[in-house]
Amino acid sequence: MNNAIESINLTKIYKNGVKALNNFSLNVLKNQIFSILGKNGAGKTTFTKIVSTILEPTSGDAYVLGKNIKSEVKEIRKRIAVVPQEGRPLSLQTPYEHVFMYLVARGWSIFEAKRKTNEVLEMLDLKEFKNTICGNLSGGLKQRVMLAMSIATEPELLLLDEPTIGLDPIARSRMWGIIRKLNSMGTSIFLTTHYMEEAETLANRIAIIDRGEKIIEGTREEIKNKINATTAVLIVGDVDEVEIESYGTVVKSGSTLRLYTNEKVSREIVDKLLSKKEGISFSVRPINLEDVFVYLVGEVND
Amino acid sequence: MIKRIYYGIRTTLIISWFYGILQIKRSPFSVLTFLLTPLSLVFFIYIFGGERALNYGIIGALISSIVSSSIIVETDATFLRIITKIQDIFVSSPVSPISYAAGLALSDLIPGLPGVVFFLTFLALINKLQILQFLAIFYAISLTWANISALGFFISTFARDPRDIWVYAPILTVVLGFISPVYYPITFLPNWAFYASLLSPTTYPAEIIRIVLNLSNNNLLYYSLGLLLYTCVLMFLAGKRLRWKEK
Repeated sequence: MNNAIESINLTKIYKNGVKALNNFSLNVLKNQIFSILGKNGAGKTTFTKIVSTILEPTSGDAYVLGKNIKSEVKEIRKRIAVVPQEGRPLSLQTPYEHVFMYLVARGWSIFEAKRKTNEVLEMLDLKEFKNTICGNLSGGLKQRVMLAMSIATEPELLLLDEPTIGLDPIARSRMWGIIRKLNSMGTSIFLTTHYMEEAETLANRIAIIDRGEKIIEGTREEIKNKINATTAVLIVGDVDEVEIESYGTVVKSGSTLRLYTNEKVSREIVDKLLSKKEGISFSVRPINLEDVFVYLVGEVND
Repeated sequence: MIKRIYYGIRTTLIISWFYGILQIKRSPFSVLTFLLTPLSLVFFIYIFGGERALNYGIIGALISSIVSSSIIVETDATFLRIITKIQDIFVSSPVSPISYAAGLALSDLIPGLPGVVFFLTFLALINKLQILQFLAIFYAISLTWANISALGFFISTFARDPRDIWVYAPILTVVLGFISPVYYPITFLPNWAFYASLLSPTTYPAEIIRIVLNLSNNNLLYYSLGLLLYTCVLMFLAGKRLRWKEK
């Protein structure tokens, strides 16, 4: 079995009637970084909770590391670790105490837990803060403590639910480095995010999800090829939309008009826009994941 | 089986070290919270009631210190589930819900323990407790800890929003630890209030201690079984509702 996660028609309807997942099927291969990308409320956390054995699905089934999420829960729980969305460490305890406690609670010997705690804190550059109470740490360091608790258990599959939410760009980029390092050490990573750049930078494969349904799945390039274009022209200002549409595919997102076209046509439109009156601003760049997301799902949340 | 129990106890102890001992080590004044309120009541009971009322005051203080430190489980279980999401980390691990719940219950008792030991010692000294009396009191306070913690867990399962966290514990502390007949003889109550007081789980341990100290003529067996039954029911309800795997 080469799948880290295999979900088959998972559906989740909450008691309040909200359908968070609708026949959601997905295959995540082992040793990959797989990212689910979606707006807030798209169903990412629901899916993560179901495959983490925290939440029961309404219907459908899933296998994690070859084990069934309904009948083989114990086997799954021994081999996975989760960093929940917006989870945070306790403020009066230190990073060392968090990791050590969690390892011993999971059955590690005191001696092994001490050794592993030191090793993980060093790996995540938390050693100098190991005896600082978490209440005095920055948001990025707190998030690293949560990650340290999870990776110390040496999971085969690590599920990260929006691990960089609320972090500044430096802390985020540092977290990306850690995720890559973990993956290079053989840990399969399942990552949910609503940051396009994060999915694009980290993931081997990406699935875009909206309103509980999978819209598309593939590698970065496969997803980018979904739009038959190589270049995006982003225009803000008073332009004739009908005229712009004649140059390619146009998607309106907020006050921005996105034109997806090829490089040659983009030069033409740039000349045209430059000759226009003031009050128009635009930029030209290669198609990225955000463009596909906007094309398929609609507006991006920050 | 023995191995499972060993690991379960180990998990309970490490959680209580983490959440209880470290907490009072870093915030030692939390101990005073659970000691001062009952102590001040004992003081006033002594001032106005004299030596005769002192025993009632200490029994009440003993029970209410356990209640106030155990019912906090409601707040903490909700906090760890909704705010920090630490519960999710435990749920997705091999840790059993019973070890986790017991760890939290023990953690929360730790700040209340100095008060419990203080009032228990006070009671032992002024009554020159015999071993059987001490065992009966230990039975009463242990089951009170278990059933109030279970009640705390049970109520915490209804919380869905961070605003729910600090609502119920203070109300329950007042109702179960102060208004119920724990500081005063149950015979002071009119008939209707007597029956109403039987709905409170703290009526039973307080009455058990009063009976073994010859402050009440009620039936020890009746109240002991009542306490046991109440504890079983509350633990069953908490176990049923304990949100481990969400539905």
